[in-house]
Amino acid sequence: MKLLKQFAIITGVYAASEIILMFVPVKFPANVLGMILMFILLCLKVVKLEQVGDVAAFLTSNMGFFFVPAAASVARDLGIVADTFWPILVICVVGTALVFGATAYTAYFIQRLQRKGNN
Amino acid sequence: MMKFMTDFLSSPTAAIFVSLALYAFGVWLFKKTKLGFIHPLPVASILIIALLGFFHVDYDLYNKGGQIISIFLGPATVCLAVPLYKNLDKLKKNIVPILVATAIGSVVAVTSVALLGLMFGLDRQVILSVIPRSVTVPIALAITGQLGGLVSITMLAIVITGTLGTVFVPYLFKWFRVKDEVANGLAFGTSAHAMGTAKAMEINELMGSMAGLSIAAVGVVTLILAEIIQRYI
Repeated sequence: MKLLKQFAIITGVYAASEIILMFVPVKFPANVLGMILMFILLCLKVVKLEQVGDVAAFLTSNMGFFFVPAAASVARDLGIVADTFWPILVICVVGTALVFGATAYTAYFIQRLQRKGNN
Repeated sequence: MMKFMTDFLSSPTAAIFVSLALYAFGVWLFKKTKLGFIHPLPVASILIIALLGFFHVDYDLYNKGGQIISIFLGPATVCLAVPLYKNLDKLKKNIVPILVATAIGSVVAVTSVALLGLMFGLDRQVILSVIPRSVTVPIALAITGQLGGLVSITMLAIVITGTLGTVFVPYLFKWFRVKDEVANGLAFGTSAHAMGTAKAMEINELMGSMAGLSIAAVGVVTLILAEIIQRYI
């Protein structure tokens, strides 16, 4: 029953964000809103960690499994995947290097600025 | 045999069973080989694609069971708030570098895809599908949905990026030699989502949790950026 309760809270938060988005004329994904909502509820201690922790750990640590059907949809688009595979690979390699460098150096210099500000 | 396989996979429960069994095989293979790039997700998906192709089973038929699995992505995304909350002290302490660095990283990610994609002369729809490649899957799929991209291309780009996260990002980490754990952790998570985070966690705990914190931020920032950049592609 404990796990079912946890599952109910989690799906409840997701359903709540779906309902909110029905009334708000903004295009926003329900799952991201649900994540933000859950974070706020945890911070406000409306939802306690023990009330969702086990199911959350199960869902997040096995998240890879839930992507399998989406990844298998490549079966439907084999032609386009074959045509675009190499350019996409190059984009990912170059992009990953650029993102890594940009993020690491930005964070590094921001922290230096902050430390200077404190001194 | 062909007919049998089509009949078998037309049962949603059988499709779920096959997905679980192949994923379990992927986990076993990963443990057995200890090779970082053999992740159970690509292993299971490639085997399913091969299975469907070999027995001439339509993807949509398999997806009758598949979509039951995909439904869990919604609640799973909601649960990403839990590790965020567990690291609340680290989040508060490093809020400025987290927000600024992941935002800059996401801008570089999105614009590099758009520019390189246009340079290679890729279709608009393909470029849009690749845009969320460094975002965690459930948020990336939401972004692709909003942009009208192809789920298959998005998944391909995410899996490639994730694999790079284990085989290439550790080298970037050595090459760039930024001597700061917070900065490196954010770079691992921003450049290669959960796969980069797993690798950062292997190096050290602070780097791992910083990478983890970047995942949600990258998702939200990219969601907004994608909406803007699609007007210019």
